[in-house]
Amino acid sequence: MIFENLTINRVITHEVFPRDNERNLVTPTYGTNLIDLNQQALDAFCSRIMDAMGKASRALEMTISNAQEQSVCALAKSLINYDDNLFIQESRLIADSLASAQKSRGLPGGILVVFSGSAGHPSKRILGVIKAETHSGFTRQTGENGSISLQFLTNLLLTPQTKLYKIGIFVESDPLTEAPLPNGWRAFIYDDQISASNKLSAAQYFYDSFLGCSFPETSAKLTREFHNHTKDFIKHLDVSEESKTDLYNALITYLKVDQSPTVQTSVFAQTFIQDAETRDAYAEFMNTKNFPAIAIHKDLTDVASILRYRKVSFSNEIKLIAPAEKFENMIQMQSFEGDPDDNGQTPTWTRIIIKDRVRGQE
Amino acid sequence: MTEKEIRLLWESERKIYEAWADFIKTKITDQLIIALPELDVNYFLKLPVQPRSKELKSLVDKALFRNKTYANPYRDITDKVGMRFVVLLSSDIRIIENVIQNIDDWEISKDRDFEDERRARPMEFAYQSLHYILRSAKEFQYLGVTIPASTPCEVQIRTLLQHAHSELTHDTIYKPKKTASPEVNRTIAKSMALIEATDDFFLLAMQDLNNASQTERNAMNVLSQLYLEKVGLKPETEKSNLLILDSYKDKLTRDLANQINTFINEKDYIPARIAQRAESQHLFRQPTILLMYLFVSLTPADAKETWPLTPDELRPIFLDLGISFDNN
Repeated sequence: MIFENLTINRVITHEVFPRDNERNLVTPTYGTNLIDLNQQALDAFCSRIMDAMGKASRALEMTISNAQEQSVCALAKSLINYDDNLFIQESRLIADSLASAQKSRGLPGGILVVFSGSAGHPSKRILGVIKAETHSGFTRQTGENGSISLQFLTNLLLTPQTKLYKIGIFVESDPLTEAPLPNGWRAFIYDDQISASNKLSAAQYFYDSFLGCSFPETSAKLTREFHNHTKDFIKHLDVSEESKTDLYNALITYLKVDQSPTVQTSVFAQTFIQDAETRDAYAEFMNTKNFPAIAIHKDLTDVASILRYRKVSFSNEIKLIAPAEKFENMIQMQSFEGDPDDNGQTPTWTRIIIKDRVRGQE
Repeated sequence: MTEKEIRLLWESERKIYEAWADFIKTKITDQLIIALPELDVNYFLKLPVQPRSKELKSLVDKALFRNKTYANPYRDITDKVGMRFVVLLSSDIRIIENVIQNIDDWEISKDRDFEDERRARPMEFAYQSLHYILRSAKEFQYLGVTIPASTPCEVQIRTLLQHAHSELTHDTIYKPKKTASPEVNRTIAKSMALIEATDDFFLLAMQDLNNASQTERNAMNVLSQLYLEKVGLKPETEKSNLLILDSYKDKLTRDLANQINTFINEKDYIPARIAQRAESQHLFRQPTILLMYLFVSLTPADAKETWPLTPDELRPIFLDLGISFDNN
C-alpha cells in the first residue's frame, strides 16, 4: 500500500485531556464543524501524513485485532459512509475511545484530528486519526517601523516535528468483501515511540488500547527476509570487498545492536549507505523482492542463530568464522594484489589481521 | 514629372501603401510564429517592426534631385513604404526570407542580397543587408482600403550588427555619393569586415552551444509536447527548465518520451495533480515537472540529492506520489 494520490475530503478535530488527579476520565471537548483548509494548508497537512506514512516512512502495517462494535476499525467503516453531520457527530466516539485508552496520568492530552479521504492507485477510501500534542514556539512579528520581534506561541501543533504526533490510518482495501471485519480493511500506524528504542510499552495505549491493532505475526518471517535480501544485495554490489565487509558489519549492528523495535529498508539505507544512487538501487531491489517500503516490527526469532556468527569463505574450504558482534572490532581484512601465477594473471589475496595471539591449534 | 504632380499622387495614394505595409507586417509576423514554435517572436526580432511611409519631402528629393535616372520617378521609387526586420544572426535572416518566399499574396524581387554581393565583390566590405520588394499579387481589400495589384513595398532584413553599421553610415555615407574622405571610408570598411567576422564567430558559438545542449533541447521538446497532451495546458518554457534538465542530464534516456508516457498512463492521477498545482505554483507550469515525477518515483533519494532548487519545491511531488520526503 502506497499512500500516493492522497485526497482529504473531511477533517474534524476534538480535544482529549489527561486523566484528572484521581485518574478519572475527563470528557473530551468536541469539535462541532468540519474544518475548511485552503490548498496551502491542505498540502502541509498532507505533508505531515506523508512524512509519517509515505513510502520509506517509519509507519508500520499492523494487524487489526479488535474490530468489534465501537472499535476504531468498526467506526472507520461507518464514518466513511456517513454524511457530514453524522460524521461530525459520530467521530466523537473516536475521541471517547482515545480518552478511555489513556489510562495513565502520564499520558498527555492533545488534539485528535479525524479525517476521511482516499489514497492509493486505484484509490481506496481511508479514515485517519492523528493525535497531535501541542508544543510551543515563536512567530515573527513585524512592528510598525518595520522592526522584527518574536511572539511566543504555546498551542502549536502538527509542525514538522514528527515526535509530537501519532497517526493511524484505516484503509478500506476491499469494499466488496462480505466477510466480517476486519476483513477488507488494513491498518497503518505511525508513532515515533514504536520505532524509538525502549519506548514500545509507552506506545501501546495508542496502537493497542485505542486503535485495536497488534504487531503482525509475520514479523519474524519479514525480519528474516530483510536480513536475507539485504545480504543478497550487498553480495552483488559492485564495490570493494572492504566496503562489503563494512556493510555486512552494519547489517549485524542494525539488527542486533540497534535497540529500535522496528526494521526498515530506508533507515538502514540512510544510516549506512553513503551515496543516493546505491540507496535508490537498494530500495528498488527490496521492492522487487516485495519487501514492504515502510517499517516492520523487529522480531529476531528466525535470524538469531544466523546472526550469531559471521562467516567469510575462501576457496579450498578455508573459512573464517567469528562471533558477529566481535567481528568488527577484532578482525581486519584487506584485499591486495598477490604474486602473478604461471599464466601471468595477478590474483587477489586477502590479508587478515586478528587482534589476538593464537590460543590453540589442532 | 513635377513636384506638384508627385505631391498630389502621394497624398491620394499614401493610405494604400500604408495598408499594404501593415498587411505585410502582420502576415510575416504570423508566419514567423508558426515557423518558430519554441521561440517568442518578439525575442527573435531584435527591434519592433514599424512600417514607415516616406515623408513627402524626401520622396520629392529622391525622385527629382538625387541624380537618379528614373523613367517615371514616382512609379519607379519602390521604397515609398518599407519596413525592417532585425535579427541576431545571419542564419536568422534566412528564416525570415524563407517565410517571405512561401507566402503567395505577393510577388517578390530581390533588390539586394549581401551574400550575392559578397560573392560578386569578395574584396569589398560595404553596407550589407537583404532587400526585398514585395508587390501585391492581385487587387484586394484590406482594412477598408483597396490595394491595387503590383503595389510595391520594401522589406529589409538585417542582423543587429549590420543594423548598427547602417545606423552609423546611413545618412553620412551610403546615400550621398562622395562626401566622406577615403580615411573614413576605410575605417567603415574595416568595421564591416569586423562585423562579418563577428557574425561568423557568433554562428560558430551558437552551433557549438546547440550541439552541446542537444540532449536537453530534445528532452525539452518531448516534455513540452507531453505536457500539452497530458495536462492539457500550454507549458511555459522558463529558464528553470534548463537548470533542471542540466542537473539530471545523465539520466535522460533516448527513450524519454516512451518512458514518461508509460509512467503517466500507469499513474493517471498525476496530470490532474499537476493542473491543480499549476494554478498557483510556477514550477508546475514548466514541462520538466513531468520529468521530476518520473525521477522521484524511480529514484527518490537521487532525485532529492540532485535537485537544484529548494527542497520545498520538490516536496509536493513526493507528497503526490506517496513517498516520505524526509526519509529519502
